[in-house]
Amino acid sequence: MAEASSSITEKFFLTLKSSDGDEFVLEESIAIQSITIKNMVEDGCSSSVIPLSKVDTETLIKVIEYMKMHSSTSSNEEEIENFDKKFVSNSINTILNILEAANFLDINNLLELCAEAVANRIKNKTPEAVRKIFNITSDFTPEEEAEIRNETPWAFEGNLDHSLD
Amino acid sequence: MVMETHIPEEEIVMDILSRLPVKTLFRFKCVSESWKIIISQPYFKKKHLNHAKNQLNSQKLLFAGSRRDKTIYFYCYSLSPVQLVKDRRSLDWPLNSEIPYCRMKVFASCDGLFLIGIWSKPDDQPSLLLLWNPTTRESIIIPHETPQLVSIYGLGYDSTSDDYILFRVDREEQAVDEILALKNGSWRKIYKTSSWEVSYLLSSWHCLAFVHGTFHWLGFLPGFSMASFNISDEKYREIPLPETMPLMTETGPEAFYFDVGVSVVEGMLSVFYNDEITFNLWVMKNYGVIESWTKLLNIPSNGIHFIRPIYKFSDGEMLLRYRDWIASPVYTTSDGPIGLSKRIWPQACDIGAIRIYEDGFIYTESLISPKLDH
Repeated sequence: MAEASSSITEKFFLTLKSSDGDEFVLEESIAIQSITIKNMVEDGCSSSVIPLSKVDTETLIKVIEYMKMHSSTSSNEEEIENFDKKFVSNSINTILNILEAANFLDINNLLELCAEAVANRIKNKTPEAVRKIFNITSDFTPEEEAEIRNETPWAFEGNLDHSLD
Repeated sequence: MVMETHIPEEEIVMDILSRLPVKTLFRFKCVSESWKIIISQPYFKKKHLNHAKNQLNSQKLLFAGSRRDKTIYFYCYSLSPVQLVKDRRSLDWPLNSEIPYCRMKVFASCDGLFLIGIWSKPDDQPSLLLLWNPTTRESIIIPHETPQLVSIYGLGYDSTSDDYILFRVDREEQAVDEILALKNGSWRKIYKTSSWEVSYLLSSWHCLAFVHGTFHWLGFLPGFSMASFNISDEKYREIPLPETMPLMTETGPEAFYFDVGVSVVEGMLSVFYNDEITFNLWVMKNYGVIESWTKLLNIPSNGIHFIRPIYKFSDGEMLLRYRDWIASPVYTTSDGPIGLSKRIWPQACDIGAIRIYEDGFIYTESLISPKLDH
């Protein structure tokens, strides 16, 4: 209880270190939107720099930008909505990287936002486009692939999107 | 800067895939072996269903119609608030099972599966019982051999055994109800305790309402009330109707015209009553708590018959169905008196060679397979 009351009057700061070695100083109250960081703080492992070996600098900048917007008391619902809309207009690859970071850092809102955005962007795509986006090499022989396609030809009907973003 | 992409973890892939429409998922089965495995897993199918249940885009209205060439057609409409998008479909018969058709009835829908009876001759029992997922286009025949009784069938999901349950209630007094668990595949008689022996179903026009692991219907027990059958303890129970709902005393043919029914609205047990002046609908907010019956709708019905609740939108408005003067269904919203409210279907362009008499059902587009592995 004593800790809770002191955090109102005093601001604590944490240092997050990306996989590229860049350090970012962030207010604790903002950073603990990440359950992973919150647990580290509660376990007393946050006195020095917190290394985030799975998050590169470019992604960490985006994640911090998101956390700042979503913890700010001055931003209203409409501002947050517009921010989120703009946030997910990044390239699919950027969103996928943020999604992985959100999964590692355990930031549920961000994970939801990114997963929904990726799903929306790929739902009309061809399997070929999806393979390229997710960097997947097909392990089917052409015959096996043709068999899957022939089982449900209706799934391949309509205007499909070949683009990679 | 070099764009770096690496393969996301399976957990993340699964999360993304669970948000996609069924059609997309069937296309993405050929992306890779591991994607095909994910999409085919029963665990993933459930995860996908649980997500889809809360998405308006995954809710469809399905109803059957026949054309002059006597073939059955189904119409799947998406429930987008902007516009109903129509998709005409034919029934996906299991291999070599197609029979000449003279009548059909959609009995129930659960988790994207439909239980359909098809008659090739005018018997009381359907010639074929089919379990069909119109989204994945899979279907199976449910075996059934019953005396010639007028019955209605219900469909529910049992989370304890992770299985779909079919339940048959007969119109006849002292008939024996039967239950079928899909994984087991054969019907089993349910013997009623003596106090329930004289109970019977009000009307074969009705549908069973499945909620809280329990089937519900209106009938005479012997007094007019709501009967329920719980699939876990296999017990019959009476559920008292809302106090403000008028009780029916007639048991003869007049009962047929008593415009009542049970339904499920937003996961809650619901009962409705139309006295030709007003259409009233109640929901039981806390299952089993009689005091929690709450009136949800009370709108002028202008002498219109057979009004049924179909779906409740997130803004509180409801989709209702009534029958017009030639008994053809009309779908409308609950924003005003019946007949004067916003008409959803049919629009002028829908009226033509199609004859629709069957009731429509709302369903969630799902990957759930009617075959054994679900």
